[in-house]
Amino acid sequence: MLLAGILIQAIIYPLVWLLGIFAHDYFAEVILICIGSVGVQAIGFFVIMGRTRGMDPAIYGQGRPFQHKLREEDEDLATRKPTFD
Amino acid sequence: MAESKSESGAVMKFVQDYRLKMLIPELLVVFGVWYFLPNLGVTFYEGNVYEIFGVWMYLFQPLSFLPSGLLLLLTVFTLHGIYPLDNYHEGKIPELPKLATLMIIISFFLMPILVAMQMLGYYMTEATEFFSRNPFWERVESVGDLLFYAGPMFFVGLQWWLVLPVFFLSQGVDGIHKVAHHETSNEKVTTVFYFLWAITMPLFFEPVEIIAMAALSIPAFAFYSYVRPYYTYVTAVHTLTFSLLILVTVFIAPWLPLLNQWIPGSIPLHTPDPLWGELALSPMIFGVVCAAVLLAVIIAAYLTHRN
Repeated sequence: MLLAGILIQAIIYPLVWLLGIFAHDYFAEVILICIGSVGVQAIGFFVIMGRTRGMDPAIYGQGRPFQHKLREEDEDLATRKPTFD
Repeated sequence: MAESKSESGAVMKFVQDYRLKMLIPELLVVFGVWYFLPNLGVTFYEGNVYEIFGVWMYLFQPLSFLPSGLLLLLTVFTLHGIYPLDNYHEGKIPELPKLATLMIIISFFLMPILVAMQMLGYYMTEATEFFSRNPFWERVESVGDLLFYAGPMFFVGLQWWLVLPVFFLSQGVDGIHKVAHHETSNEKVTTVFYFLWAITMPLFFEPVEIIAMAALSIPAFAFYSYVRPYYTYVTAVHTLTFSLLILVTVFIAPWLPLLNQWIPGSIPLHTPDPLWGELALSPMIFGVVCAAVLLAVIIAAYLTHRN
């Protein structure tokens, strides 16, 4: 999905640029941002792949491990957000 | 964590306690407001946006002789007193922080209405903790984010047409964070509200604006997963969703923004005069940027996969 998303962008942004189908006062700036954006995403993709090499692919779908404590003096990690009773 | 905190100096402690990293989104909003100010006939260093309000202007800005744009910048800093106060409310620090209280009082004095609405937003973000965590209060929490962070857009930039799109944006941004952090009571409802963000954008914006939003928001979200790869699925969903959004945008472009098709004039003209359009347009700059990006990607691929 990540790759598909990056690829779609990598195809659409240059198309929009070359065909110039939209007129907008900030068109040039937006296209510059688009190029930079795809670049950042491509670099980021390599960073993710590099950092998780050899790891279980399940990590990609894990989400944040819940780790904060409700009070400084608590021993255990919290299982919920702080709530007033 | 506690150890590293006690070792850090007074400046670092201030940066951490007052959560100065949150200045990044807040300053972006300030610059956004500054960009809109010329449409109101003032600039960020000169003029009071509330003068059209008659006597009521003193309610919005008692120091009416100062420029609203600069006062807003000052308020963003002083309102950071809210973060230590929040820690005090949650019992994370034992004593009421005096400096923080003073900072909030100063903010109230500078821009009473704006800060009142931002404080209301802050209390709305606490709603899930005071009442109960269910889909309704979670939506209220997201609207609180809207008032707190985007408040200046409305109460200083006076861009009221942005209320609806920013409502969906706040639901989407906050929603995807809730899902990633496993802190939503109903993942399905939250996910639906996230997708509403992408689905509703063609109602309000022109194609180039939507493309700009996608190009900025995708890498901004993705940075989470560059730092911590366990967020990758969220990044993947967001990347694909917004790529599909711009794909659709290209096809329905002639009719955007859709709301203006149905209710003509509901989205007013709002594009400020370009600042440096001529420079950015030159093919030289484009070529240099493309080459630099390509080079950076190749270097990154080499560095991360050289072994």
